Amino acid sequence: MKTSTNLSTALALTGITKTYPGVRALDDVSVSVAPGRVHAILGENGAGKSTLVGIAAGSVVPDSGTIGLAGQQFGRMRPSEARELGLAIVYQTPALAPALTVLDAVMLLLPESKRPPRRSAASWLTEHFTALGLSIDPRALVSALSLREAHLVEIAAALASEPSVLVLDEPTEALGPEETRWLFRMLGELLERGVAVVYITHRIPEVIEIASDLTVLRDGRVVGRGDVADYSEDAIVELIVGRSLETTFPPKLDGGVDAPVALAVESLSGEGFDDISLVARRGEILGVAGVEGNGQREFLRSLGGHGSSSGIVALEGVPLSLRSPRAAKRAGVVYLPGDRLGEAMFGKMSIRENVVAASLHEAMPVGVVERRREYSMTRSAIQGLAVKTPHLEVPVTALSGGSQQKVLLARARLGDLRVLLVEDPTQGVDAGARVEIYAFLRELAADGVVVVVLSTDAVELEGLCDRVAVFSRGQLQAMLDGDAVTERAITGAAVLSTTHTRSTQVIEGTPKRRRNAILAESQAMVLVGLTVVLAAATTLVAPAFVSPLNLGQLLAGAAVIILVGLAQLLVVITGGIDLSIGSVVALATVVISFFGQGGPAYFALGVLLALLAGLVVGSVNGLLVTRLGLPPVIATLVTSIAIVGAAQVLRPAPGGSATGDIMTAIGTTIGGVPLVLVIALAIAGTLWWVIQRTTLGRGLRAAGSDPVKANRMGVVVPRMRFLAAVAAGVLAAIAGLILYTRTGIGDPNTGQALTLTSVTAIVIAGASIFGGSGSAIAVAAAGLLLQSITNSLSYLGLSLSWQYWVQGVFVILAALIPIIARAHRARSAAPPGGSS
Amino acid sequence: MTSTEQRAGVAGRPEILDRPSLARVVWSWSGTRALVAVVALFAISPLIAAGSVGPTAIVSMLPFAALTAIVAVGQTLVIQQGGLDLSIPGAVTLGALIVAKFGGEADWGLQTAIVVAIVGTSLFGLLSGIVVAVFGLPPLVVTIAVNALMVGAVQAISSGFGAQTTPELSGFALSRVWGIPVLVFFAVGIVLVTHLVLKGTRLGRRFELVGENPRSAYNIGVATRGYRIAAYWLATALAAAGGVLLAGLLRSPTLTAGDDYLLASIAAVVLGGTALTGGRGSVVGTALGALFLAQLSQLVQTFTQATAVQNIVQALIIGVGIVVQLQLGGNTARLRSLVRRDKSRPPAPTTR
Repeated sequence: MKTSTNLSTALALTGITKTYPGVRALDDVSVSVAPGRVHAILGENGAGKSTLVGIAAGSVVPDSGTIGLAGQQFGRMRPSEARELGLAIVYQTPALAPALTVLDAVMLLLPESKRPPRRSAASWLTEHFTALGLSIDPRALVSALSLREAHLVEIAAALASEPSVLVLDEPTEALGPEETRWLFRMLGELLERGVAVVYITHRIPEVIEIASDLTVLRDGRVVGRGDVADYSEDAIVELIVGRSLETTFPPKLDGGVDAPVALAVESLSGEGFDDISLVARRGEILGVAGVEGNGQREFLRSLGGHGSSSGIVALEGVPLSLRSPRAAKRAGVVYLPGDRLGEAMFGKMSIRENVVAASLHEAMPVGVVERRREYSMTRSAIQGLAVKTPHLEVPVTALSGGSQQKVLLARARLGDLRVLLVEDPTQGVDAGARVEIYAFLRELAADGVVVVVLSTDAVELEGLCDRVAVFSRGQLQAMLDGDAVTERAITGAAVLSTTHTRSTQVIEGTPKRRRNAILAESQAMVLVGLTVVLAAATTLVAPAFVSPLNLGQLLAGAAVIILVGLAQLLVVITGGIDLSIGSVVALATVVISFFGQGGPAYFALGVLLALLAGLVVGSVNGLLVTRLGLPPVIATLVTSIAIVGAAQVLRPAPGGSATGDIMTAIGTTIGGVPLVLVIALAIAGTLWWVIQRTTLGRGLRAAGSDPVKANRMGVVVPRMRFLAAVAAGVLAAIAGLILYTRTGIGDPNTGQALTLTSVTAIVIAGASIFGGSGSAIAVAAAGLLLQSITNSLSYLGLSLSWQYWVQGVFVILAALIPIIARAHRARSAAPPGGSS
Repeated sequence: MTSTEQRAGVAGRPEILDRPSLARVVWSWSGTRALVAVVALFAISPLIAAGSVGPTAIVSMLPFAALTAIVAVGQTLVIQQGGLDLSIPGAVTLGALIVAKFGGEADWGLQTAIVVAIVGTSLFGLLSGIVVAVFGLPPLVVTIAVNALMVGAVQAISSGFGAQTTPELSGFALSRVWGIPVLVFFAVGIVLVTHLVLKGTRLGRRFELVGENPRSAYNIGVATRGYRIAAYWLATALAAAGGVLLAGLLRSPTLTAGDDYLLASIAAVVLGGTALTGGRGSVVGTALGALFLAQLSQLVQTFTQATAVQNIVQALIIGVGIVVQLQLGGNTARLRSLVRRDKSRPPAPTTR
């Protein structure tokens, strides 16, 4: 397909196929989107819509097919390429790395040509937000935004990039009606300018309102396309579901409204929902609905024993204890989370092990494995569920989404099942299995199990449920039953009720945790303060501590720690860890020690070679991690041992002292401060600027904070990891050079302890050990403190062991404090409806 | 109640078997590749160095294989819980030092010293486990810190000087039963007991479930913390036990005696086929991995006496082995695709 895309097509996806383990997500799908028109992509959960737009935006690589954009054809593309070519996308779950500020995130999302100059970026973004009528603080952390605000930020960034193709994946799911109006107004303006809009939604009325063309996907295939004007609402729904609603869903309960109450919830409150009272009747399926983030998920989870809640839940008149999932299970309550892979399945384990997992007492009555019993239990559990598999030892991740859900239902069915709570029961399930699962749920209900279904798909709730509870702002907004259970009524009730939320949250804006420049460096202040206190205390005991000689030693020593700390910081920010830092330091001292006897030029050559050695080791680490997929800890451990070996081969015993001239030249002090410390501080300052203020730094932080989202934002994550590894190697080599200037000998066995010190430095500097954030300046302060501790130990008459103990205790405490503080904050401030 | 009757119940569908054929079970067992590697290594050893598979060579290699296996079993448990124990060196050294320093009759006596060495050191593992499981800190950072605590303890106890074990302990550690080094019996015993508990009991099944996915396990009512804490605790205890035996083997253990066992323990686990992502594991595979490493190191030693070169060569080979094992993943799909092409279906489902 070499023909250039003609002008009447802004985006053309041709013959796209994509398979995931166990499922063909897209099968030969072609879509072409015309400029100046809204093209709706429709389908049930898991029909392949999000995969399709992911391919268009470059975040998903297709197995085959081509992407035509801006007159060019691509077999695959990177997210950043798609953005540069004028395609902007707003994801269903906002793709904003949580450790970034709003400003960082928007800057990363903009194509290079549309990026404002660095100095005026903050004021530019404030103006842009104001022009759009949004009040969001550009310096707020993404992790502190509500789901709605994150959506609005992503939409604002997409608008600022002046796209020729705008892709919106369920944009109105988290928005209120006024914001939806606002969005549609914006879309109107874009359409007039000839922008092509791809619009994914569940909400059929929105399709009728704004879309001109539509493509319907089912199980990864195109099952319908054409002009929206040619279809009625009902016709569109039937196209999506694949058959009439009557044949997809089992018949509902007759006269269910009069059935006796089975499950009674009385004024249940918890994190995200407040004072909920409702009942589920015997034999009925109760639906739970709401706009994302309005407390309905938390409500369902709390029934399953998650989170603390207050109120009364009674089954057949008997109050239940739902303190924990364990207690819930004992009461016969089973919760099936929507995130099957993450929260329900044991992915690499077999169907058998997954099915009997919750019934191990029955499967092993005397505590010993009995395979036969497990097989027969598994067989009886999956009976009638039509799990498609050759045998029962297949790992569940190899099954299709439908079969996975059936395995989970089979697990729930074993044992004494009385209440089944299901979240998104057919997410990622093909149409055939969907029908079987609906029928199974109906059968369970008929057998006396209380079935509660939470779904984001209002059509599904309409077809499956006898009654539907609609949540809003953590409250029960409406209870629909009988003929009132319709998609329109469910969506309407959920959306209507969010009207008043807009005025309280978006316009006034809530105070957010900001990435305040001064506050961020408070950690450095604290560390410097501690250093001063320690130095003062030591001086009281031993006045020699403040002698110029000792202070010079201390400051020069701090330079080494600062540099290894910075090396570790770069790697940790990108989500890795480097255990080879100490070995690189040793290698660098050994390399340079061969060049200490000649003139300055000879010495300079040695410096270059030592730096080169660091560069090579860093590159090897980077390649092992990014190309071969080794976990960073193992890759760097292997190289670490190889490097020490190499250093020992070069210099089996310590030696290679430098001439006095060179030592004097390097020992220069500037106003009493050793030159080497000045160098280390300069590097720290530069790195701080790079990490905080540049596109590269944003990329590094995004990569460590959330690799998947970073990739969607256009960050090439492996490149960031590789760069960090290389930089760490070079920085560690510089640390080795400085160490050599202090000791004057090359020693292959020195520096091993510096790996621990580097980790200690970044942890007490407040860098996130999970990646994504960290301050180079705080690391410099940490280096000063750590060297002061080492130095003062001997003055205080404490043995070497204290050096290790202090570091070990520091690491654990410094890492624990933010986690405990966060848990405390979460407990003390739990706004209803705020979390997702 | 035969399975044929049950299968007949599902009419019109292909029958679902209990398990795949025996050949497939063996083929997909994670330890199979380790076994193949061990057999291949022993087969080519005589070609590389004539004496490397003689009785003398084997008997001198086995104690180190046994030590690595004992330590690596603990590492397997931690890796099964999705972690990694970087405090192995500290634990081995501390165990060795305590028994060497206080094992004499004039001090605590050998038995007391062994108990203190293992139980006392294991408290550090308990600390790691609690911090990791209760507060959710990354295992790497926690175990690096706890290793520092143990190294500090080593420094404090030793004041910088090693100690000599009693002849009693070293005599025992070097002794043989039926010509086989006694350490081998320890290693085999520990591996077998661990294997039987993991694969044959409810406790072991729960341990693997928690390792595979702690959130899923919590959701179905398993108390996950205990299993995770136990993994770190046992790993440190086993490392300390390894240290005690190492002290006997070396007579006067150095203060860095444990350093060699960190990479070795991780390499043995990976070569043995246990996924680094946690979950199902095979301690038998780990033991085979340890045997492979010990023989490899023996082979490298026949070429050069320089420890430095041995380190380099071993690191390279271990690196290659880990890459190969990880690239092949926990399944044979990649291997098969190297041999033949499956045209009828999209790429075979893979487990990751």
